[in-house]
This record gives sequence, structure tokens and C-alpha cells, in this order.
Amino acid sequence: MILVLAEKRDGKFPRVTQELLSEAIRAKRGLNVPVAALVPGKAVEEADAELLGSWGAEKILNAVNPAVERYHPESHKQMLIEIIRTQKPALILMAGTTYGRELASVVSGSLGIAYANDCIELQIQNGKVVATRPVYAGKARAKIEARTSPFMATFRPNMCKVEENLAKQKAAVDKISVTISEDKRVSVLGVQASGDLLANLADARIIVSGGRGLQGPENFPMLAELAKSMGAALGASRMVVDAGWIEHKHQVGQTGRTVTPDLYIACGISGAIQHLAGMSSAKCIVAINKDPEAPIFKVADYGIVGDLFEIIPILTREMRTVVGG
Amino acid sequence: MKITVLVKQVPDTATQIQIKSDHLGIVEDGVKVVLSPYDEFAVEEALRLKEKIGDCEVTALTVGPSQTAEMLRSCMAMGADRAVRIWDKSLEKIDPYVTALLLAKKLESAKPDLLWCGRQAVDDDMGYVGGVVAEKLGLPFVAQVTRFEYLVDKKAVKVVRQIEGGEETLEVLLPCALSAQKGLNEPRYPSLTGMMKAKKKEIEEVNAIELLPNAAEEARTTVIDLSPPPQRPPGKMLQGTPEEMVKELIHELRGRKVL
Repeated sequence: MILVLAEKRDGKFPRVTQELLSEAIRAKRGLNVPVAALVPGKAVEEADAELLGSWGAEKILNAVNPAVERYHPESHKQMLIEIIRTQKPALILMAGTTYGRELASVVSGSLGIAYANDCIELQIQNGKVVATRPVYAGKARAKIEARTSPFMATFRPNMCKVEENLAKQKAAVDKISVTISEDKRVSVLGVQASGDLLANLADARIIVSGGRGLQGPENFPMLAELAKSMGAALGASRMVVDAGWIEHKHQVGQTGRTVTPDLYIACGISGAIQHLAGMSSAKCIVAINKDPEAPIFKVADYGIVGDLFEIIPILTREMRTVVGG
Repeated sequence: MKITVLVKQVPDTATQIQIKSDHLGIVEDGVKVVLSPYDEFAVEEALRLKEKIGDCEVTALTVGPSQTAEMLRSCMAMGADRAVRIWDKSLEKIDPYVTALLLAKKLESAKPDLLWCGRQAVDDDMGYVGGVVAEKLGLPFVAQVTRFEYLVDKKAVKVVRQIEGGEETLEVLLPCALSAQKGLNEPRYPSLTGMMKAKKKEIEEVNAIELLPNAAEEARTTVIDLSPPPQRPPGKMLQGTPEEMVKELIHELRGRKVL
């Protein structure tokens, strides 16, 4: 089978679960094995089986155990290792989140499974899995061939195309028990939700990003307004993060986050190579900069040469009327 | 306390990447190389703990050819006590799993109390080796740490790490393994005396094949192609007054269904 780790976030399955299941459906064409969603924690409800079924899961492996209701590094590791051992999947797909990447590295390491993280595409060539993934923060792309089976891959959110018009099937639910022994070496003391939608670069469909052209930290609120007007996350260049204008969690680029939103609006960012590496696979790029020679224009689909302080307020006003934000 | 930091030498983030004609690697001649930025945060955090608690030995450990000695010297110039380099010339195209096995093998007897690495090396961006080494050594692993505190009475560490949409605080008993995320600290520049001292220090060299005779067979993946990212189609520069440009932009974005 192809196993997709499907975990709810804030009470619902995130979009990346649908993306992973779509990728699983495509891989199924080459591997000819069923697609199963692994849902740990609580018992799945009727609605979950319908939703995951409509996204392409034929089966749900429901590992009901309170120890994995929320992520715990050691409990999740034990669960996934046991399930891989008993179910023997050919392919295991997970979201490239902090948790997903951590879990994938320890589980693949423990079992000696071939692994690639941050994949953007999978192909099955002569029964072998070949993963395409950005390297050097996107300055190049590598194709990685698995030498052994199974293969484990994490995918970057908002990267895989979602399969539309799938047959409305309901996934069959298979409740499985997993043995998890409490590991007292690691205690999760708490999670502090930032509640700051502006900082959620990973899942953002739209990112509005600011650089040195903003001239100072006092001008980031203007950009935040634009981001809010269109439901976007707020990004920043390394230079302004290093200068302390905004927190690192907003940084896009080689020592920040590599992002692939549908729309990336770069405001006052000249486009240093580390930054371009981190955002140039966005589906659509808009650059606003006063310097017509700025390298950012080389990757932009739409360029505006002009004064940020004049253009951003107009853009915010217009976005509010269009998006209704 | 024994602290080991796993380090890797990588091309400087400001460099252009030039792909070799065989499409399997990058041109390395003339490329400026550095200690991977996230590993630098890890080294710095190890040194800060050493400065705080005193009785502590910090070792920088890498798998890499002789050129990587330079990076190990910068770790020692920053303040690391020792440096170890594992290599064999037969390992030219090394698989990350093999790298992890070698590191783990070397650490089996050294038994560090605390193992640090960067969240990922900024060349292959895998974020993988640290977790595998931890697992092979039976150490719990927490990735992407932005705050670190040593709880001496509990023989544990308290860490904060970034997760999607927030932060998570964990307490982990030693021995354990952690990966460093940007924001953890501001790494120091090596001092001149540090650099002088580091020059005189010896780097322990370990032969990879003696350490793991079947290293080559342990590879789990093969890089079969390396290419530049697809070229973006030429863009459109908008013209007119700011009002006109904004209106046209919104019209275009709606046409492309990205709004």
C-alpha cells in the first residue's frame, strides 16, 4: 500500500493531507497498490471517512491510542515504526512540517528506509521511486532514486497538484491497535499558538514580503495591512531579519523558509540570491521596487517600478474592495 | 559534560550554483565554502553551555574530505576543544544514510551527553542526518530548537522550538540530540587568538572504511540528476500611474486565479 500520514490540525485535516493523497493516487498508477490514510489518535468519524475517501483514500488505518492524539516525538515514532513493520507499505508520504520532518528522519533512520524530504514530485520508473526535490534552497533540483523499498518522502505544503473530480468513495476504516510505551525522557510542556496568521508562511497561499526598501521596522505595519487585506502571510528578506526589523519566523530564503505560495508579492526586496532561491518556485511573483535594475524583476511575472510608500496603500485599498478582507 | 556538534561544510549561501556537465554534482572550484549556517548556531550554543557550566568538552565532528579541515579549524577557533574528521576517498558521492551511520559509529564509544546539529545543511537541505544519528545512538531527538536551557538539577534540557502556527516547549532528559534553528543565538566570530590556537590543534582523522567496512553498500538513495530549476517565463513590467498599475495588476492576478 501507499501510506499517507493524515493528521488533523485545529480539528480538521489540512489541505496538505489532500495534496499528499493526490500524490499517492499518481504514484499508485506506477505501483499498483492501494492508497491508505494513517489517522492516529482518536477514532475516525463518518465524516472523516467520507472526506478522506473523496480525496482518494481507499482505506483508513485508524491507530486509536490516546498517546498519539497529539504529536509526541517518541510516541509517534513508536507508532509509525510498528505500522510500517506490520503493514509493509511500499511508499510512505508525510507533510514537510516541523513534526513531519523530525518524525520522518528518525523513523526512516531507525528502519534504514530510503528517504527524501521536501519533495516536489514523485515518479515511478520501472517500479523504482524517483523523487524530485530542490537543493541549495532551490538553486538546483535533484532527482533521487531509491535503491531500496519502501520509500519515505515528505512534501512541502502547497506544492503538489490536487486531483480534481475523484469518484465519491468512502474510505473503509480499519481500526488497528498500536503498542506505545510511554517514554519519560521527552515531555511536551506546552504549545503556545502564536495566533499570528501573518507568520504562517508554510501553508500560505499568498505571501506579502518586505525588504530593505521599507526603510525601517516602523514601516512593516503598512505591509502587514496589505497582507491582512488579502489574507496573506507576511514574509521578509534576510537583511531585515538580521537587522532586527522583524522576527526570523517571517524570513523567506536560504536560512529562512523556502516557500511555494500561489502568489508572492515582494515589496522593496532587491532579490539577493539567497532570497530568490527561497521563493522563485512560487506560482506567480509580483515585484514592487524603485530600482528597475533589481534582480527580483528577473523572476517576477509582474513588475512595478515605483515608490512603495505610494503604491502599497493604493494596493491595500484596492485589495480590500476585491477580496473583501 | 561531553557535547558533540555534527557539522558540515557547504557552499556559502551567497554563491551561484553551477552544475557539472554530468548533471550529478556542482562545480566546486572557486566556490567559497563555509560552516553550514545552522551548524554554526549549534556550535555557538554548545560553546555557551561550556562557558556557563565549565566542566565541558565540545567536539566538532564531520564526514568530509581534507578540504573540510578548514571548517573544523573555524569551529575550534570559535572555541571547540576537539575536531574529528571521518573520510575515505572511495566515498566521493556519499549518501546521507551512510554519513549518518559513520557518525553514529564514531559516537558509539564517545557517548556524548548532548548531541547538537543544524536543522539542515544548506546544500542538500535534507534535515535528516541528525535525526538518524540520534536514533542509531538511542537518543531522543528534538528538531528546530530556538531556545535552550540546561536544567542542571534534573540532568535535562528545556527547549523551545518553532512549529507551524506557534511554538512548543519540551523538557528532554540527557543524553539527547537537538537540531538548531535560526534565532537560537548570534554566533560569535572566531577571535584572532582563537584562530592562532586552532591552527596548532590537531584534527583527529578517522578512516571511514575502517569504521564501517561496508559503507558503500549501505547507501539508500542515488542522485541520478541535478538540474537548474525551470526558467520562469519573462515577466511584464506594468506602466502608468500608481493607480493604473495597481488596477492592472489586480486585473491580471484575478485573470490568473491567484487572487
